[in-house]
Amino acid sequence: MDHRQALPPGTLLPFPGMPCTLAGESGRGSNAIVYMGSYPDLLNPEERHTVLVKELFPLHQKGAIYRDEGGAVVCAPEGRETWELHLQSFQHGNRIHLRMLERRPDRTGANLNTFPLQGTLYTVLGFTGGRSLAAEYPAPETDLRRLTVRMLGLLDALDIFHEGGFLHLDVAPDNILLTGRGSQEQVMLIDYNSVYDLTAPPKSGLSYHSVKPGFTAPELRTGGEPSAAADLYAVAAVFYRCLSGTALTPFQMSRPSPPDVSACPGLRDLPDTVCVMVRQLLRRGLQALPKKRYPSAGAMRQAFQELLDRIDGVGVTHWALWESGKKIVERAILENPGLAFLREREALFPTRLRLPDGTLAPAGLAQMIGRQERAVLLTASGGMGKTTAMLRCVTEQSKTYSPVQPAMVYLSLYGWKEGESSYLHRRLLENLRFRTEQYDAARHALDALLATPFKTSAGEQRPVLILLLDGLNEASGETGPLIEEILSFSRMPGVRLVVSSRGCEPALPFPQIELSPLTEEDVRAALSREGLLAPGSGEMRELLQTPLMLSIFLQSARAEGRQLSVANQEELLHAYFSALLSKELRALPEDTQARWRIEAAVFFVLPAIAREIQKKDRALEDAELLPVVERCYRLFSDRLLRRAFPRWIGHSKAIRGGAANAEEWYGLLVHDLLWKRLGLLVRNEQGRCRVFHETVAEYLTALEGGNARKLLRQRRLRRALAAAALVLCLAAGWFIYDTYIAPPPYSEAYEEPVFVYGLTGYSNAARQYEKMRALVNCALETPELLSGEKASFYAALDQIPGGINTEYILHSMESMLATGEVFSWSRRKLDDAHYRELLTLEQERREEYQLLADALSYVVEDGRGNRLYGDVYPELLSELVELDGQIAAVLYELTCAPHLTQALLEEHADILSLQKTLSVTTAEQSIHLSGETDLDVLNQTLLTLQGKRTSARNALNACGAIAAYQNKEGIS
Amino acid sequence: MEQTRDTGAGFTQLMYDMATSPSLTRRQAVERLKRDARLRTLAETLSKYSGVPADDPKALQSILLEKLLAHSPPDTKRDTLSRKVRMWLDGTVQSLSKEGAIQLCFALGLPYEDANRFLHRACGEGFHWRDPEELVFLYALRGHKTYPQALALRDKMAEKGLLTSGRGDPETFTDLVRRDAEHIASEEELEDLLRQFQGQLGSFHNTAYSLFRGYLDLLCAPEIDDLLDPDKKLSVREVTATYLHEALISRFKKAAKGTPAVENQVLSALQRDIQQNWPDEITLSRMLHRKTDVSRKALILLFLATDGATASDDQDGDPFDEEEEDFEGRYARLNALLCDCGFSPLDSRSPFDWMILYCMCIEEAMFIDTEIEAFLSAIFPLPPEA
Repeated sequence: MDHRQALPPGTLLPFPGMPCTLAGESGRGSNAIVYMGSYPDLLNPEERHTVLVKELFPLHQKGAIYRDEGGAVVCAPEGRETWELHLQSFQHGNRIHLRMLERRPDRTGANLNTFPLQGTLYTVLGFTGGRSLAAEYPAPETDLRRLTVRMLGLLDALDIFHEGGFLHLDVAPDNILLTGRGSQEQVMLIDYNSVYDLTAPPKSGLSYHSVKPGFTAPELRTGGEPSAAADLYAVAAVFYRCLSGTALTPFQMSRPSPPDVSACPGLRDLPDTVCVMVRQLLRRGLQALPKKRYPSAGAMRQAFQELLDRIDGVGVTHWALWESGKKIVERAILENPGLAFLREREALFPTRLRLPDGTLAPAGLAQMIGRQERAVLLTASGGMGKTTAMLRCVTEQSKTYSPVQPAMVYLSLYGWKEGESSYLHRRLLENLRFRTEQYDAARHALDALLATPFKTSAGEQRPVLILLLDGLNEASGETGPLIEEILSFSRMPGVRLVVSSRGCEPALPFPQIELSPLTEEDVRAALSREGLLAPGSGEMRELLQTPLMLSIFLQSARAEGRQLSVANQEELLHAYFSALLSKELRALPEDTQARWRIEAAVFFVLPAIAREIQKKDRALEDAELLPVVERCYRLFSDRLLRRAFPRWIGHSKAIRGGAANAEEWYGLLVHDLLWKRLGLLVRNEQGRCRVFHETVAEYLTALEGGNARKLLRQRRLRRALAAAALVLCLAAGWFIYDTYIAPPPYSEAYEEPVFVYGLTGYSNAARQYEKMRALVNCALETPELLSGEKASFYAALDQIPGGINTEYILHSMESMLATGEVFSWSRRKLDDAHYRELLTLEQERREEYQLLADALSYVVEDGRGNRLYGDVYPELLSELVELDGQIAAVLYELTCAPHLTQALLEEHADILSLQKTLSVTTAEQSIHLSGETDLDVLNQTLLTLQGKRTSARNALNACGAIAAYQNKEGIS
Repeated sequence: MEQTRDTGAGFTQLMYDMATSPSLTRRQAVERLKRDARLRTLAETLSKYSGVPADDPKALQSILLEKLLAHSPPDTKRDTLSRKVRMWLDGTVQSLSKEGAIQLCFALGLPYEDANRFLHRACGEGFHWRDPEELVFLYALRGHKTYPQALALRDKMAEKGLLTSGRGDPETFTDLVRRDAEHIASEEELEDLLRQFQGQLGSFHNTAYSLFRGYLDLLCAPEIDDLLDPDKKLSVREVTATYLHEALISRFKKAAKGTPAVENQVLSALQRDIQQNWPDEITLSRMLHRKTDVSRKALILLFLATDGATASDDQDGDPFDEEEEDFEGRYARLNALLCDCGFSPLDSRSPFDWMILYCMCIEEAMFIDTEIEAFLSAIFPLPPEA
């Protein structure tokens, strides 16, 4: 019982130069009591140094070593033996501590000094704020990485001892101190009392060592020689203690193998290579014989470093390749239900190799690569099980990791892209993580790893990597660069290659082994296991010797639940897909609408996908497949498809399965159904899709051809029908319109003359305008010539054809309007109101123009008239004449222009001639046709012009020239 | 807890080398054991620790008798004691009871370390610090008391009800008790200690028991499952029959009778050493139910019976692991185990231990068992009439 009385808080220990005040007890062992304390800084007395003070105060059961009333430690005679023992131990520990501090101050806690006081010794130690490893692990470690880093720190700390020629000999969780947190955490070894000095002269006779159950090496427990290996045993025991939460029991230590740690929380969900490394560390570290343990702390550190690398998955190493190979296949099986059969070992058919001597051997790895050759070519036709044989090898090999068994990596050559010369390197490295960020360095590390085979303890050389390259025939394009890289791998001493192809490859000078078809006995046995009859047809029986076909046959029969009657491969594959559908439907409610979606997916969308993959000759990404599925989606909304596939009539909605758009439908069909559920599509490492087997893809492509032909037929038929219908509709429409709907044309007897009169009316008005314009221009520009121009003006007025009988024409117009509603050529009505205006325009202005011209002559030629009106009247008259020209033009555009069709001009040479004349005339007269065809706009323009003309005429009157002329001439 | 390293060599080393010689066939081994065995005799041990040369048996007899008389209860008859000593010295008795050995420690005035080693030699195990009675004897021995005084103190403590046994914590308790017990300086302190740990002390070896249970559990759940009854476990009887060579036990006595006269002396000693305390079904069952303490011999046999079962399992393919553990490793583990339990390490001069050493040298651990059986058959041949 511990009766030792600790010094009370606040006790002052007057050490020279550092008077320490104790804050309280921090811990105690059999040898000493440790206190927290502090002493003032000499320069800044208000600041204090925090320290630990270790007081030599050995435990004596009956208190023969005790504290007296003055606080001194007193030793009664019966405690003297104990005191001496502990005093020596205390001094020894201090000495070692100081030597360690001298060697590695960075990894050793400070030892400031030791002072004799009050009958005992006090050592002042630096305070690190650390915590013991024992306290850190009340339960098993859950983070193996953290523990591994701590073990590395522990080995670093231990190495300092060993380098200095010391053995710690009491490595245990309570003597391991952790300081700092996270990445700043440091590990220190404390308690130097058991430290053994290897450089000291050997003791004769018996040697005594402290034994800590669960941590002390066997040789120390039996009184053997201490060595560094004893410390390393303890390190392994500490590792186990932290991992499992309990120290090794005597039973566990007596066993030839360390305890099973696979259930430890720290190893949960970690890769096999990590667990193997942990077991290796424990096995070697806990060896009963020192010579079989790690030879040094450095060697053990290297092993822990490898464990850390394995946890982090870092490094181009054998184990990393092994993990990578395992992951590739596991991921492929996990992601592709179509490959799930690989897990069912019993369900796999026997695969055999036909050896060069004609004998058959199981297609195991040993048979494939068992011979001396570094590479072999595995050949067989499609569906013979090359891929299965390879994947099976990997799954068998990757059950448990072994550092002396080759890593095995399966790579499909289907993913090779034309021109790529580093495909194998890239694929091998893409699943690894490197210490370096440079790809070239990683590639170099890979080549270096594969350059040397490893040797077993028996001296046998084994490859580091077995590379299974599947489907050389599926690599499309000019395969020269790929072949070259395969050859370079075959030359690496640490590599064995198995390359599969449908046929021999002259560029690869590898020995060829052939995958044999199943024997008739195999087929019979497989059929009989399922209670199935062998097909009657010889062709079919032969076909079933192909594993793929036999598998499909069995699956189909199983799904249908009856004997299968098929005669050839095509029928078999059809039966297979039908059976697949039946099986799916059985799992669904009877009236399910999902059947239509599944059927469409299998028989329409999947073939379309297969076709696209075949077209591009490579596996496709989702982005590339989406357009294919989008096309299908649109087709299912189209009557065309339903006509081509009448069984889907009325099921478009069910086929779309509630998908709001093509993207959703893609997810339903491709992801959920074809890939995940049915396994008909498989995804490769890059996530690209392909049909699960080339042979099946060929069948589906043919099926797609049939679907496409059906659709094409329907499309052609629809086009033909549509064209015929269009023609018919047009004809009928024309007839109906013409007969029943179109307004009746004017009588042929009237329409043309009336129209020509209209043109003539405009022509007369335009000519009148031309003459009046010339007269006004003369008055403005060359008034001295006005008398001559005036004579010409009057003569021209007389020459304007006056033969138009307005009344007759208007009568003809009325008559024409009574016979119909439109001109026969323009199918438009005559604007009869404006037609009247146009016809009467020239006659209405003839008298007015004479008066205006006379007044002009008066203004220009008469001295008084010129003086009074010469500046105003000609200008006002010019504006009026211009408005009249524009009015004539608008009337023409309202009444004649709408009916001047090309057909009319072509048919009536006279009209054409007249129109040409008008064009010339118009141009010469500078009448600017607006070109406007909107009749409403023209009407509005006309009203505006007429308003302006009234104003202009009023302005003329208002200027007084006309009245003055009339007064002078005596005209009333 | 502290252990000692034996630096002696001599015959022990010679016998060790002989047992572990790779060239020795089984027949040769049996012959060599019969012919050349330098069995450690009780007389030899007594001579060593009494300081009287073995080649002077009369003096040894006399000294031992006198010292024993001085450390025996007053009513002890001299003749009886004299006969007893004579039987030790002439080899009639090859080992001592623990109580008898402890009495001799008092009689010979051995300090603790020597006493412990003497106990190892004389009865196969050292002091047991968790046994309340032995705690009393240890205190008395360290206090240089006589054996009768020690007995009186034991009785006194027993009267106070302080020597009752409990189960205690098998893993760390012994060490704790020892640390405290080493500092006891008076009867009062002893009484205090016994009182303090009362209910937690006991005469049985807890560490040995935990190992015994561990091995027995392994044996009861054989690796090859019974297809008809997968949950079936072996009974103690089946374990005894399968792994402890029970069938041979009945031959032990018969064999001794049928041994040629010329070899009688040596062979009888061999046979007796091997046969003595050989665990049978009843003993094993009693050990299992803690009616009796686990014996060193039972523990060694169970250790070897189970060691091969897992020697090569869960290999991870490390080149280091590919080599099966050799004799040295197994020897180190067995010795460490015996020390952990307070038993003496393997002694090449004990016929049983020599047989174990020889059989452990076999390459494949899983055949050690078969080797022991064959060795026993050679040592205990079927009588001619059989």
